[in-house]
Amino acid sequence: MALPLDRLQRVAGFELNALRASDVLGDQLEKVSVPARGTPVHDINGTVLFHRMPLTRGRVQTGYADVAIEEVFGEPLLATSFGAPWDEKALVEAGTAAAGRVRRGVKFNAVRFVAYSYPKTALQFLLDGNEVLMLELHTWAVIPPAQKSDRKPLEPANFERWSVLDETPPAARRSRANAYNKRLTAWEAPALTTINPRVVARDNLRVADFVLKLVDTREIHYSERDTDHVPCYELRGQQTNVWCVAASVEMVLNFYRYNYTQVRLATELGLGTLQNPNGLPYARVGDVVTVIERLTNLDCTMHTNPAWTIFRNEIRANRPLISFVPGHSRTVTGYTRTLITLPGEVAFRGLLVYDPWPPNAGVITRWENFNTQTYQFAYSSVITQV
Amino acid sequence: MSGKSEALPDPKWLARQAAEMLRRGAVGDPQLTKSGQAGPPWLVSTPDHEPHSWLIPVTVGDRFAAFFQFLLNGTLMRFSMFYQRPGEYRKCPIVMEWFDLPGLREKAANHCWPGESAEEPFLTFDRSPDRVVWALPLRGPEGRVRLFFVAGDTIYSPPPSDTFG
Repeated sequence: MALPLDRLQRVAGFELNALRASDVLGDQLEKVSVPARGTPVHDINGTVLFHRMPLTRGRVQTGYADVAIEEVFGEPLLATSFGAPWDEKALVEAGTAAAGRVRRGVKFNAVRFVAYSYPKTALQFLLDGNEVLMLELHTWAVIPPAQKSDRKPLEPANFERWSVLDETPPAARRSRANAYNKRLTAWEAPALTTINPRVVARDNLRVADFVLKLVDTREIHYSERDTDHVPCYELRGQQTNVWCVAASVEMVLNFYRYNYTQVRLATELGLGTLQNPNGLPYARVGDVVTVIERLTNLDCTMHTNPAWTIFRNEIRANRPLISFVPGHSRTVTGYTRTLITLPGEVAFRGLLVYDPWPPNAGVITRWENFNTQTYQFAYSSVITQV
Repeated sequence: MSGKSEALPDPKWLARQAAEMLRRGAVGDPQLTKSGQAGPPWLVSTPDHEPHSWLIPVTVGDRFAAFFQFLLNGTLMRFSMFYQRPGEYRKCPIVMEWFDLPGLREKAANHCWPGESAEEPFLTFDRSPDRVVWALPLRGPEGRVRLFFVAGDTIYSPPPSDTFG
């Protein structure tokens, strides 16, 4: 269901206050006022998608925020911009002048803002409800009419109008609607009813009985109980310059109370001796599973090109993983991800890595930026017998 | 310098960012915040000498306690600590083990074969950017260069590239 306009200001205010509380934007948002309404921006099919809401501090316009009316976006806050004020009236005037230049004598009796290729916006000129012209905002280039084509949904050409609402697959729409409505529900918490979010302030959301979750984070504990001690894991440096796999297996097996030495594990993995060591060839990545299962009561699984969810789900189940990146092996014992970020930017996702490099030392990396690493394989282990 | 590289952040600015993150407690732990000093940035190049990232050490006294690694565009790749528990700095490497350029040059000279000459050591990585090492290039009389890698007290020839190790 679309966001009722009488709730727009409160929702926008809470979203911006949350962004302020997370310190993503520093002081830029402090004491910024949120208006009751913004400029409605429509989908190609005519539905209002979001409001572009001008933000002010005192009498000075500081920027704007795009706040979704439609749940198809999955989150209410779509974008913020600072430094470039939003002046709807001036844009309509400039666009109207451009329309006269582009098409002399064009007649229209309504103008509206349209996300013709979200997030790209345009001005649509209508005569009795029918489009007579559409001009891209600022460039005032004419947006060509819709063309029939065989292209896949959500894969438009560079300068093509398309509908967010009509092209988003039904399954994605459903899941985004759930996320969107969950967020709206959060802003209706009883603890927030007395708060006025129309002016953004860092401490606005610090009220009793309301916890604003800014990060999702977990590390390996003694058990799955959050109250158990943490960290319950020891770093082992690799004993030669090519034994990262043996050291990684050693760390994970130690967690499960198996006390194999790195030398023994290296032998089992075919990595030679301390005097004459060798690395694990790429062709033998499956040996990690074989050796762990042979030496323990663990059921080991190899994941190729592991996604974030593999790491997250295993850590939530209190199980460390071995992680292979090009040429190297480490273990992963925790994760963190920011839940509120600057719109348009990728949320930070990090892994807690117990890395056996450098030899005889190792490092604990808190955090490894998930977006800057190539994850080739991961190995998860589950106890099969107790 | 090309226009592209001119857009990259100044490493001194990155070092200030690192110091600020340390001061705010955004990384490490309260003891490191109190005692740690973010040092100057060191360029990490690929083994082919292409710039890859910046390593900014954090020292506590004479110990190399932790480090930041930033991509050239300023993205923080990682913050890594040599100690396992707050304050356990005596187990960390000695700073001079890692950043002693005269010592590295001497190591390189000791590994030269007759007719070879040691070139300037550079900070690089062994297959994965996680595996930061010093490279000691030794140039033979016919111009061919062979490398040794040094990581703390470990010195070795580059292993085969198609292995994990």
